[in-house]
Amino acid sequence: MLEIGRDPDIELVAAIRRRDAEAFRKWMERNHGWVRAVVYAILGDADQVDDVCQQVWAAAWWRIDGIIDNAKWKPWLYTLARNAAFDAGRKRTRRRRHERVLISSTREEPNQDGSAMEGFVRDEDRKIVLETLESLPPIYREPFVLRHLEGWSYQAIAELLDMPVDTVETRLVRAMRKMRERLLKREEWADLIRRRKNRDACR
Amino acid sequence: MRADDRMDRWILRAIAQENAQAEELGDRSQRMDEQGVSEPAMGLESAERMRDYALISTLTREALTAALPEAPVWGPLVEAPDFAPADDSRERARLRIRWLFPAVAAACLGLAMLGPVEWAFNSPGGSSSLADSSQNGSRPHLPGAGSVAPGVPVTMGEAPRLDLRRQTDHNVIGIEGPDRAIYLFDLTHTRTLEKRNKQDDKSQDKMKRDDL
Repeated sequence: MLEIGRDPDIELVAAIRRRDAEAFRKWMERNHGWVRAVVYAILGDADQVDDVCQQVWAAAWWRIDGIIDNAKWKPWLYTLARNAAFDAGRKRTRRRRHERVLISSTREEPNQDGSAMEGFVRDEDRKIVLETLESLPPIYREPFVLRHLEGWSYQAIAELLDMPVDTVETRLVRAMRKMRERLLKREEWADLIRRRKNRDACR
Repeated sequence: MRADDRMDRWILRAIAQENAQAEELGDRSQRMDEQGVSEPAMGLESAERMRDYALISTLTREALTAALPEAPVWGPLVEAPDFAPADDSRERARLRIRWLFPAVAAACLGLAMLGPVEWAFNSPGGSSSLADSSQNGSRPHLPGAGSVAPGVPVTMGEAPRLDLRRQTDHNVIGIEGPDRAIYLFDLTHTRTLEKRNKQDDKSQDKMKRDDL
C-alpha cells in the first residue's frame, strides 16, 4: 500500500542522482511491485514481465537525470514502465503467430485424477478470467490490475494515473461490468458457476 | 449518476470491504454516501451481480498472483559501469546519422581521386591492339576506368551471360597490353585527342628533306 505523508522515495531519488547504488536497490525494492503490475496490465503476458521490468530499471538508472522535479518521480517511472511495456507488446505481436503454432503443438493432456484434476480445474478458471482480463482495453485493465494485484486504493491509483478519483472508480466499475458481460458469454463461466453451486450445496 | 452505476460502485466497495472512512473516495461516491444510499436495497438481479463480481474479483486476484511469478530477490548491486549501455539503440542511430553522410562523402571523394591515378599506372602504352567491346548497348558489368580485367580469355562478339548484362550508356574499349592482359577503359573518362592534320605532316616532312 502507498504510504501517506512524506514520500521517502524522494530522498532515494536524490541519492540515486548522485549514483548511489544502494539507494537505487532500496528504491527498486519499494516500487518493483506496482511497476510489475503496470507492465503486466499493458503487456498481458506474465512470461515477459520480468524481462521488461529489468529494462525499465536499467533505463531508470541511466536516465534518472531526466526527472525534472524529484517529487514527480512516480509519474516519470510510470511513463518509463508504460513505454517499455508498449514496446515489448509491439515486438511480441510480430512473434505471436509463430508462438501460437508452437504452443498448440506442445500442449499436453492434464492428469485426470484427484487433486491434480481439481488443481487443473482451478487453473482453467483462472485462465478464463485472465483471458477475459487481457481482452479489456488498457484504460480499464490498468486500474483493475493495480486494484487487484497490488490492492491499491482509488486515491493511489488516481495519483499514479494522474486522473480524478471519480474517474478511477468509474473505470473500475466499467471494467468489472465488461468482465462480467464477456464471461457470461462463455460456456466455461456457466460451468464454473454450476460447479460452485454444487460445491456449496454439498457443504 | 445512474442507479445501476450507484449500485455497482457500492457493490465493488462492499466486496473490498471498504467504506468512506477506509479510503478517500471520489466526490460522487461521497455524495452518494451522504444521500444515504450506501446500502441500497438489493433485488435478485443485483444479488447475482454481486455474487459474480465477488467471484471475478477473487479469481482475478488469484490469477494475477499465480500468473506473475514471485518477485525476484534483490542481491547486492555490482558497481555500475561508466559507459552507456550497448543496447541504447537511439544513441547508436543518432551517431549513425551524424557520421553516415560525411563518411559516404569522404569515400566518394577518395574514389574520385584514386580513379585517375590508377588509370595512369595501368596505361599500357601506345602499341596495343584496340577492340571495342560494346554490343548494341548491352555490356558486361565492368570494373572502373583503367582497371585490369581478370586473366580470362575475352572472345569478341560473344554475348555476355544474362545476369552480367547491364545497361550502362558508356562506351568501353578493351586494349591488349604487352603483358597480354586486357585493359578495359571507359571512354567517357578519357580525353579526346586532336587528330593531326595530314597537310602539316607533309610540310614537316618536306622541311626535313630540305634540311637533309
